[in-house]
Amino acid sequence: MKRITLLCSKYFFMLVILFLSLAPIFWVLMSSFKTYSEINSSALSLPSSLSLNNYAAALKYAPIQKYFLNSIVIVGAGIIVTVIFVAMCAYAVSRFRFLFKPVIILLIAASLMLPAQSISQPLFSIFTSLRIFDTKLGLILVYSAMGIPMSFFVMLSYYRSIPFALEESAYIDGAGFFRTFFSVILPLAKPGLATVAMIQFINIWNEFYFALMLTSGDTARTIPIALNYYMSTFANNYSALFAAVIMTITPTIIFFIIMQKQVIDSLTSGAVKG
Amino acid sequence: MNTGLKKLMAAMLAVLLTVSLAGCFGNPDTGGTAGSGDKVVLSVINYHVGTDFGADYYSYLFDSFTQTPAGRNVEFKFEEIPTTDAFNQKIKLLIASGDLPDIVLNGGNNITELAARSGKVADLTPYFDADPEWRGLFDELSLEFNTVDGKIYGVPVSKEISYIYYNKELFNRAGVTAPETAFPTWDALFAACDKFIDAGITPLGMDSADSGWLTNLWFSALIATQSKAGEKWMNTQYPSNYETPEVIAAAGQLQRMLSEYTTPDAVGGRYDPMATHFFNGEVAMFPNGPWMIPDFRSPDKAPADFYDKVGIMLMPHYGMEMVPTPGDMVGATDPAKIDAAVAFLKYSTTVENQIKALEMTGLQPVSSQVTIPNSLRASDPLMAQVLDISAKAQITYGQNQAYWHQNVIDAFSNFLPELAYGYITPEQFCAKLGEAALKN
Repeated sequence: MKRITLLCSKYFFMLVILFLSLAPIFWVLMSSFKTYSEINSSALSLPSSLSLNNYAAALKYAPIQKYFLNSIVIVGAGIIVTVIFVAMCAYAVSRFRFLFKPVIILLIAASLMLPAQSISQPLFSIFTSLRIFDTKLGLILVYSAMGIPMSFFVMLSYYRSIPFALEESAYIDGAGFFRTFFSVILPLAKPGLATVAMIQFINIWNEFYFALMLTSGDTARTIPIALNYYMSTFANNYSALFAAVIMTITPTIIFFIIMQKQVIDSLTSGAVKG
Repeated sequence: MNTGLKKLMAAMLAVLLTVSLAGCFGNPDTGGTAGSGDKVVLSVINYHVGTDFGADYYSYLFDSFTQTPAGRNVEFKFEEIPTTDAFNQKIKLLIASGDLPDIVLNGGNNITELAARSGKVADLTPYFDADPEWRGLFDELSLEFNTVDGKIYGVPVSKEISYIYYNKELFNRAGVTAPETAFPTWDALFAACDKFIDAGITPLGMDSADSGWLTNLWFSALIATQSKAGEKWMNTQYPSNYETPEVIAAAGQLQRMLSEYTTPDAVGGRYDPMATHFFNGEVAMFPNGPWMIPDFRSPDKAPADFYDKVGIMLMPHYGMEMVPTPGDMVGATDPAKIDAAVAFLKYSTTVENQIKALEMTGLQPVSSQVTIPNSLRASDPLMAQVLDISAKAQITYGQNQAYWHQNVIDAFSNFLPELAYGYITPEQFCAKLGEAALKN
């Protein structure tokens, strides 16, 4: 009896989590087939038909395919740059004593407090001078720089949870500094790096302000800007907006479904060897 | 890590980095300042894109200008920024950095004064002085609205007006006779509201979220039609004292309207669901401007025969909001570009284009010289009726979203629910607006 209760509770909580995760996506999917009138009359009603008109409208109003590809490139590169820098920087700070270390940590912490608006004008001028305004490179640099402070502290605490004994063993076995870092520490730090990657993915994917301020055309603009095309004073087109949201999240969801085995494997394998 | 996964990850990283680097240096050109051959290239940041109600009209305007003798030599270089909020953020940044486009469309939000005081936009007074016929298209109020320190910086392209739309069918069902032009007093309007309530019909469309646009229109009318002092107050830009008898009295009436005469979802509700109530025949009266008229015929928004059910009346006491709009400016510094930009702005305000804007978007002509063409009376009688009824307004006034500081508009929206539920008195509501105003 106790076992059945436990099993029921387990499935109940799993169903609750499943519902909380899928309900918003299902709601957006249903809304993407509804008319303006149906959306505004009742948020929870089902669509009267499964017409694809909203999807056609979504493609008509905004260049979402182009912006989607831009997002993929910028998010991917932004994550890679952040992870590479943070993995090395946080390790050095967590393991070694050096001059001005507290000051460096303080400066990184201080950069967390910088509001985007306060640096947009200097960034605009610098980017224009460097001719990286309205380029993907410009946005990758900004997003990586903005993501590094938060990611740094995530990785700093993660490295501190890894026992020194592992590195000492590696050194005793004859491994040098780089071998120890790349072959011992980095595999152990993968869950932390995955967390950093996920935080960066969410932040960059949804970022609007710099994507607007540091671009002027379709070359580097990202999905959040495209979604603004459906919003206008007295002329919102929620139907097309929801259709665009479905079109842009579907490839990402499919990608994660296909890759989930590899992602989970990469997080769990190789943590402790021998 | 197993070998297969390593290879997969390495391949993905390589592809990603290659694609990134290939695309990174896409478009370093930022300004649109270069000429190509003999052409004058004018940069424009256009927010009339996507679902914006003026998107089709502005597309026509830019295209057709290049077919005219003045525009034949002009080429436009566009940056699109959807929504006026995003547009205003970017323009403020460009004012600060001195990188304004050659033609600066005006999205409101006090951009004119900001740009003028920065010295980054051209003084257009000499162009108005040199062309009396063009200047004659505008009334003094419209030009004064676009003047900073005695110099005209903006060319207004329209006027903003608002009044009441009503559902003729619901009026018949409730046994209420719709006035020919306006209810003579607010008491007469409230008496009609009571009849609607008795008939099981919600009388008024209101909202509170975002900026509380609809409620703001009612509030502006209530203040302006209280007394001469109220009318003067509503024609004052950036008032600081909100605790005047007429504003407090208007807030009291607004409280009554919110608690007795509107839909349950008005408090906390946004414009769109409220408009849908009106389209669905669930609300009898709805304040708004002429830009709403195309929606009455939109199959996505309203039932097929809805357009024919709609009537128009002024606010009680024959009141009507009539605000000059902030005009488009010239950010170019090169004389040839300034001339070309002014030529475009002149073109955008020709009588023909004001009529075109009215027909395509409902933008109200800025010039009193525009006469309604017979074709419009036939194709869009409701729009023609708007122009007719405008002439009958006895009290005209500004509108809170044009004349108030942004933080006061926000405070208005934030404290409306408390006013509606009686958690604060009209006096306290007005005091909170005043407190916000004094922070500027």
